[in-house]
Amino acid sequence: MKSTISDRVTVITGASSGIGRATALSIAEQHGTVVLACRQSDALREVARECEALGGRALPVPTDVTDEAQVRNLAWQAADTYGRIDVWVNDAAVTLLGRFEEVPPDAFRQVIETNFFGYVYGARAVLPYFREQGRGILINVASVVGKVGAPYATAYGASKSAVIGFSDSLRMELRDAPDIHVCTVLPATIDTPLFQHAANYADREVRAMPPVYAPEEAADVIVGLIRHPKREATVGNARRMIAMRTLVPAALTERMLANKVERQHFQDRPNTNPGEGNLFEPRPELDAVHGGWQEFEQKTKGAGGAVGAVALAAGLGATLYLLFGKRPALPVHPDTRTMRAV
Amino acid sequence: MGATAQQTAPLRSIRVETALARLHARTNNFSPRPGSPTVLLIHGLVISSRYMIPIARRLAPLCRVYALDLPGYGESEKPPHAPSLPEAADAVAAFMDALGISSAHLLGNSYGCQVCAEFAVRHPERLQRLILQGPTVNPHERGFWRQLWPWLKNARHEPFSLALIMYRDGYAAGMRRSIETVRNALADRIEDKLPRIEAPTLIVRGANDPQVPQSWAEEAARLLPHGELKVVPGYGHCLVYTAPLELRRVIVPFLRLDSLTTPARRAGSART
Repeated sequence: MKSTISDRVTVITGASSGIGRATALSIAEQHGTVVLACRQSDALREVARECEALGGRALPVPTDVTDEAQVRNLAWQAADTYGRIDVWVNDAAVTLLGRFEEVPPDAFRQVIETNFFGYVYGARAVLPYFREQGRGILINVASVVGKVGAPYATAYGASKSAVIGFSDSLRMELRDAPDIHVCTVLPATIDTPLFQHAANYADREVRAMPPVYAPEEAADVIVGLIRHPKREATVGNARRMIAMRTLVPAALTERMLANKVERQHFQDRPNTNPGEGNLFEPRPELDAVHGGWQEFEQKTKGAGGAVGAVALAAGLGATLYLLFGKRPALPVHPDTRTMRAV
Repeated sequence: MGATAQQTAPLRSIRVETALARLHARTNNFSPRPGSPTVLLIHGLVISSRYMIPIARRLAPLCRVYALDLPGYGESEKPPHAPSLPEAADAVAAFMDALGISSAHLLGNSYGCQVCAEFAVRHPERLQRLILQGPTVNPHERGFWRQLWPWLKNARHEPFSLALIMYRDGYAAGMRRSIETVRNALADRIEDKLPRIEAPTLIVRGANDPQVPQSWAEEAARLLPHGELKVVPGYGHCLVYTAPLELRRVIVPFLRLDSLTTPARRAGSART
């Protein structure tokens, strides 16, 4: 039985940027074979070139995951070229920020079509191959938001909750095939261009909510699942966020999370160009592994640290002065002369 | 969609009198659909059609398949000397004559690719499409000792049952015949014949095959006028025995065999 990455064939949707691209490069570095899917063929060719330069094998297949026929074609191309599909990573996702009451209905629906139905089409396309082979690993990249929720992310949260529920139910159905695995990945905030690509109907510009983790960490988790499939795996502080709800009353954690989103999921700049991001058309100029949000977090955290340090020093100095500093005596009203201060 | 069609079908043995020798072959037990194409499977060095059974059984639901024992091997008649490449190619043609097959697809493994290439050059009108699975001999590693080490290295990529088949078939063929055939194989220059093969040809190699390195496989595909190359990750030299499912999946579209077990391709094209 092959268990080395170099012998596996992995299909990755959303391979042009972020976690998908980082995973493809990580597999290629270990001389594995990847079948790359996303909407933009130029980005795909670039990623394929990078994979082959690292020593892997890559097949680019332009695919829009909202079109089931294209997803079926993706599976067929992988099997026709390499004879086998060992792993299918559903990773193609878009996000949409804005209050539910202000978000256009077709944008909302498109998030569900891409993030949820895209994954369903992927599962439906690959399972016959897994059945024929007797084995296979389906990895659905969800999000911690699917478990704990977040304001301004109704569509995204709903789609990721749907993915988690779908994965759980499918895993139970596939218990008759012990070598077919369904794995859910729950990343926390990852430094990817997801946020630049985001459709934003809120009043402020978006930023990635800290703490922000590197996409390579998510790729490591996915490659780890290929070696040792597990039901669920988290990336970053997702496990802590989920565990909080069992330790602290849910009403309280929801309020804390909502406040954190308000404070830290947006920049101070107003949103001058509300729009649909990459929901309906890809934005290839933003395709990369990283979104630059880890540097952004460092910069803003650094400024806050300096302000905090100054404030602390000032407060400490004021306290010491009040306690021990020599000051002229305050004038006392004649009528209170007899009252002694303690 | 769904695996309602069979994935494998049983085989039976036939014995065919040809002008050259009485030949044994394995073929479909139950006839395929009328009008189905015919695929001939040509085995490799010092072995017989026995190790072609896995791929033969997987192709049997889709087409008429013949896994042939070359003269001197398996259960075919044993002429006094080992066949040369031209004689082996003519034996295949004689087999087709005896069964009234005017033209067919050919699939060879290892030395069988050399027989198929010889056939393609001697009897081009009898060949439809050609599949060279693991074509030998790599011209950059010609010679017995230089071929022996890759052959030994490949052993860990195949199940032990294949070694047992080889011992049994080698024993049945005899030492003298085996040595002669190996000599013929090493002297044969497949790279000289490839440019003369007009039929569409697919080269398939296992990614871990030490006898057919990627560079040689790519060179062979370039030498062919109508050649393409596919690589199956995770396997070695004998895909016909060790990876029949993967091999079937990559050759079925090339041979244009209708398949009910492989999900049919829909005509979807991506927005680019």
